[in-house]
Amino acid sequence: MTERAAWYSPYQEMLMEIFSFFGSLVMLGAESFGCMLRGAVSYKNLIRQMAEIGVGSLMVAVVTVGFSGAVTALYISIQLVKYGQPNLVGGIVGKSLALEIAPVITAIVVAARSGSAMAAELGSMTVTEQVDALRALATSPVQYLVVPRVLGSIIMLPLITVIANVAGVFGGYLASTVNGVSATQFMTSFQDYTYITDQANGLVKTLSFALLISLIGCRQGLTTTGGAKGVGRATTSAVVFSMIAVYVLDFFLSSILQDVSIELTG
Amino acid sequence: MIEFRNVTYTVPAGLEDDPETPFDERLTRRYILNDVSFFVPARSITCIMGVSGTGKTTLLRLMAGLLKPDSGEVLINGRDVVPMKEKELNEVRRNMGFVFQYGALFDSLNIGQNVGFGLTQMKRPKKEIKEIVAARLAEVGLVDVEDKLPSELSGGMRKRAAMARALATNPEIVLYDEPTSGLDPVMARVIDDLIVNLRDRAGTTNVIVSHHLTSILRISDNVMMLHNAKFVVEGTPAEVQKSNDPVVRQFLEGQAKGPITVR
Repeated sequence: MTERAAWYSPYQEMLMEIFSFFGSLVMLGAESFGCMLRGAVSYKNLIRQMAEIGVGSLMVAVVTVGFSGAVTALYISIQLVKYGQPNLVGGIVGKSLALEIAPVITAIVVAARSGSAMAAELGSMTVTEQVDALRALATSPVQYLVVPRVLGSIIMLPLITVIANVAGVFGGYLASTVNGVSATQFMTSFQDYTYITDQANGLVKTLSFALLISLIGCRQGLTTTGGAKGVGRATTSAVVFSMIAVYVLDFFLSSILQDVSIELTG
Repeated sequence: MIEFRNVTYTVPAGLEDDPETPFDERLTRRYILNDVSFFVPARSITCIMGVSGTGKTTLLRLMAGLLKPDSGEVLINGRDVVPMKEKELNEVRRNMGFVFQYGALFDSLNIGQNVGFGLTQMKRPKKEIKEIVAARLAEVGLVDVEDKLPSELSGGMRKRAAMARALATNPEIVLYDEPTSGLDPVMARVIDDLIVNLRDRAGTTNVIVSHHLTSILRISDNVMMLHNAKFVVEGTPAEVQKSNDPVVRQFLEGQAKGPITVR
């Protein structure tokens, strides 16, 4: 009843899994954008996803980025006040938040909160044959399930990041003013040293993170096998892969965007 | 009309437990279907029986294009679905209903939305969808459940709702995966009568995967039994009942001992 498959080896399997992961992400992304370009978007599902991503992640992002801004300001203000440079605190906090802290922490929050939910929901649908039922009803699972999640993330993550950024600046402002930096010094420094390009760079990062997190969450969900255990595995792997991907992509995007910013602003 | 021509489907079977053999030679594949050919006539009821895990559901999935065989042709109304891409397959699937073993109703939609899903995707008017949904649900003995979520229904009711969903678009071909398992005898009879009635009234081609011998022998035009990746018997219910094949005899008589071994 069986026959041998001589092509196989454990190293080949590992390599195939890596290529298969990236390949399926690219395919899923391409198919999703194909649907978006054709206008094949279920707006009802899109609004539901936007609400889930926004409502689920906003408060967590505001609190985490708010306190991260406060901690950053706390360390910086203590040092800079000691060296007589309190007028730099607002700029450094604002730049750090816009370029790095707000986009990355918000992405991590959304990966943990919404990326995991996407993997769990689609994983559960896959193991209970609901995804097959969609296909049997002549409906593309990518169009019906993936596109609203990807588009919802692309729309909501930048909005959450902007609000979280404001919370971070406010946290930084409070922490600075109790550590010897005046309100005027903080705000003037913030306005002088935080450029619009910093905010734009942060948003470019955010859009890339949103795409990556949603595609990884959906991919892990749609390839789930093995019942409840498989759903748990898909959910965990979605969060782990998303976090790794966010930090790796953050490094490369920062390098590229830094060069672009220098070109633009001199 | 459905036709399988020399269809082979295998799945990875794991590693042979022989440390002396090099690793890459130990991975094996198991045949689910081995060079299988058969024909399901239009406007008929064909039942596929066999013990659990023999690949009966796989057969239905191949018919719906949800799986691709390793080799062979799967013809639906004369068109081979194997080389088709999803877009083309969707055209074929619009004429096909699939009743999944555990219902596979969409958790996030209520029963009315589930049953009307195919019609909604076809952009049919809301009023028409509502009427068809109510009629289909009534046919399977469900009344006033449109606003309930699948989790609020019993297993049998979910299965009947799934059947209503598969039939809502008036498909030419209906594939049933264990349609009467988990149903009480009265409801099983209602479902059997519904399948026969659909064949007679709408001329549907029906393929049923089932263990339920009473139903199989009562409603089938053709019966086939899958065992060890091949069909061991094909014929009318009367012919199958007369079969002297030891596998068929053991299955029909429900004997624990015989050529069918429990894995």
